[in-house]
Amino acid sequence: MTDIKDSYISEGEFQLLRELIKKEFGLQIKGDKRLTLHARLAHRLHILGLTSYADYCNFVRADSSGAELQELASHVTNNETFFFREKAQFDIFSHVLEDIKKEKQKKKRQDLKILSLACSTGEEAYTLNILVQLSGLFLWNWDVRITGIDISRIAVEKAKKAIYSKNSFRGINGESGQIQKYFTCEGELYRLKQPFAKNVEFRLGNIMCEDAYAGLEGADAVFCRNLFIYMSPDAIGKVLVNCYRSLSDTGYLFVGSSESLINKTDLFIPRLVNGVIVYRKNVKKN
Amino acid sequence: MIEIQGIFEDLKSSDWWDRKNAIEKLLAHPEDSYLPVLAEWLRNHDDALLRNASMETYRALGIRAVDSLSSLLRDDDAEVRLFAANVLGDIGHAAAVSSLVKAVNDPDANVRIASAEALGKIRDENALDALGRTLDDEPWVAMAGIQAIGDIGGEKALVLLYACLDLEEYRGFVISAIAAAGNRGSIKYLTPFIENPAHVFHSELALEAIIRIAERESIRLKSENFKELVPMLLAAVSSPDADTRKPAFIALCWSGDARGIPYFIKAIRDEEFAEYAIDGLLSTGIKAAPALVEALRDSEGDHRVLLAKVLSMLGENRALIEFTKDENPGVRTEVAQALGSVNSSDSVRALLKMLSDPFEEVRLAARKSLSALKKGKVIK
Repeated sequence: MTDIKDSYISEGEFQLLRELIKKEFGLQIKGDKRLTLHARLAHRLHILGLTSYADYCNFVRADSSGAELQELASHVTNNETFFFREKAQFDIFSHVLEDIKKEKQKKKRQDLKILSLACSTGEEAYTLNILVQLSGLFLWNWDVRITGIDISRIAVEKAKKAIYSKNSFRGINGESGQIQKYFTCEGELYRLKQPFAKNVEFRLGNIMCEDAYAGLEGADAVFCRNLFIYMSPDAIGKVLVNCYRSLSDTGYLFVGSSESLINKTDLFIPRLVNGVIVYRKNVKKN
Repeated sequence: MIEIQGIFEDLKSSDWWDRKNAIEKLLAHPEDSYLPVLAEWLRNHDDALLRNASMETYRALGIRAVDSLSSLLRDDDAEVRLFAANVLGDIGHAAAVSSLVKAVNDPDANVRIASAEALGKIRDENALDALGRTLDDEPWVAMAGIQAIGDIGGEKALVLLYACLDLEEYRGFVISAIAAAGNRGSIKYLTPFIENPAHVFHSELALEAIIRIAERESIRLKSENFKELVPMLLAAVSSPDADTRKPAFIALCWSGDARGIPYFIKAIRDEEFAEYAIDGLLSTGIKAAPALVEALRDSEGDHRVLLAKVLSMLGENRALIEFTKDENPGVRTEVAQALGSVNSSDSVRALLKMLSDPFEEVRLAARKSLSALKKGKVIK
C-alpha cells in the first residue's frame, strides 16, 4: 500500500510539503498524511499545469506575490467549526462580559474589542457577537468590534457572506427556535440576520505574524481555540506573544478546552471560572 | 544568609508564581547552604506545602540535587525515600541510576515501585537487569518494573519483554510495554495474541500495540494480516472506548474489506482519521463507488471534496458528472478536474458550462480539462 501512496506523492515530496506548511503556517502534519494532502492539493497542480509536488513547492516559494501560498493555506487548513462550539466557554464569556463592562466604566470608555483568531468561516466570531448583543450590556453608543482573522482566503470570503448550511448548527438545538431567531432561511441555506452580523469584520492574515493584528491593540478578549493542537511549539509561542500584545491588561484569552497553556508560557496566568479555565495576562511580564 | 532566609519565606507561599520566583532566586546561591533545609522540609509530615516547596526546588536544581536526593534514598523515613525516588525520576539524570537500582530492593514496596518508575524515566540500560528481577517481587512492583523496562526501550529491553509474554498474569502490562518500546520486529511477537479469541482483553491490547508501533515506524501493514479479524474489527469500531476504537478502525482500513465502507465514509470527516479512511476506500476499490456517490448526494460539509477526490482516484470520474452544479465549489473543482479524463460529449458540454462558474478555481480547472481533452491527453 505504500506503493499506492507513492504513486500520488513520494515520501520526499511529502517532507518538502510538510516543511513548507510548518514554516509558513506553523501547522504540524503528524504522521503520513500523503493521501489527504493529495486529495486537497491535486487540483492546484492540475490548474497550474505542474506534474509533481516538488515542482509545486518550488512554484509556491518562487511566487513573490504570495498568491499561491494563500491558495495552499486555503486548502490545507481545517475549516471545521460551528456556531456555539464548546458552549461552556461561551457561557463563561457571557459571564465575563459583565466584568469587562465594569472595567470599561472605570476607565470611562465605551468600546468593546474582541478577536477571533483562526476564525475560519466565521461561526465563532458571529457567535461572540450574538452573545454580546444578547447580553444587552453594550447598547447605546458603544463601539463594538469583533474581528476574525484567518489565513484561508476561501474561509474569509465565506465568513464575510454570513450564509451557512445546517452543518454549521451542530451546537444549536434546532427545536429551540434559536436558528430562526438568528437566521433567515433561504432554501437550504441560512443567512445571519443583520443585527447579529453588524460589528463583525474579517481579515485575511497569518496569526503568527504581527502585521495581522495591526490596529487591534487593547482587545478585551481573544479567542484562539482548537488551533494550538495543530501547531508547532515555536508557532504557538509566536501566536501567544501576539495575543499578549493585542490584549488589554485586563483582557481574557480563551483557548480550546482540550488545550492548556500551563508550562508552555508565563505570559498568561490560568484562572478557573465556573469550572472553565480562562487565561489572564501576566502583567508582570509587561 | 539573611537573603536566603527571605527566599525561604517566599518559598512557603501558596501562590505558585511566588514560589517559582523564589526558586529562581535560590538557584543563584550555592546549594550546600540550603540543601539541609530542603531535606528537613521533606521530612515534615505536618506541612504538605513545605514538602511540595522542597520537591519543586529539588526538581529545579536538577543534577545539583542528585547526590543529596540519593542520600535521602537511605533515609529512615520511608516517605522521604519515596519522595526522593520520585524527584530523582523527574530530574532524569543517569547519575542517580546506581542509587535507584539499590532502592529497587528497599524494604518498603512503595519505594521499590517509585524507584522502578524513576529508572523508567531516566531510561538508562544499566537498570534493566535490576528491573528484570522485579518480576519475582510483589505484583505491583513487578508491573512497575515491566513498565519501566518498556520506557527504557532498546533491543535489550525488548528481548526481556518478549520473554515476559509467557507470564499470563502480566501479559497485558508486557504488551503495553512493548507498545511503548517496540519496533518493526516486535509485531511478529504480538500477532499471535490478536488472533486468540479466548483472550479478548489481550487481543485488543495486542492490536492497539501493533497499530501504535506501525504508526510510529510508518509501516502500513498488509491487508492479509487483518482479513480474518474483520468481524472482530467491525464490532470494535463501535466500541465506546476510544483506545479500542482507533486501532480497530485503522486495522479495518488496512484490511480493505468492503464491509468497512460505511465506516470509512463516515470517518473521512474527521481530521484524525481521514488519511486511513481514504486508504481504506482506495484499498476497497470500485466497490466503494456507489456508496461514495450516495454520500456525495446525501451529506453536507467540506469532507465532500475528499469524497469526490476519492471517486476520481478510484477512476470513477464519469460518476462525478452529476455534481457539476454542486453547491460546494471544492466539489465542482474536483468534478472539473476529473472530467478532463472523460472523453465524451456530455463531459465536454459540462466543462463548457463550468467555464462560467462563479468560482475561479472551477473555471481554471475546467479550462485545463478542456484543453487536455482537445490535446487528447488523459489526466490522472
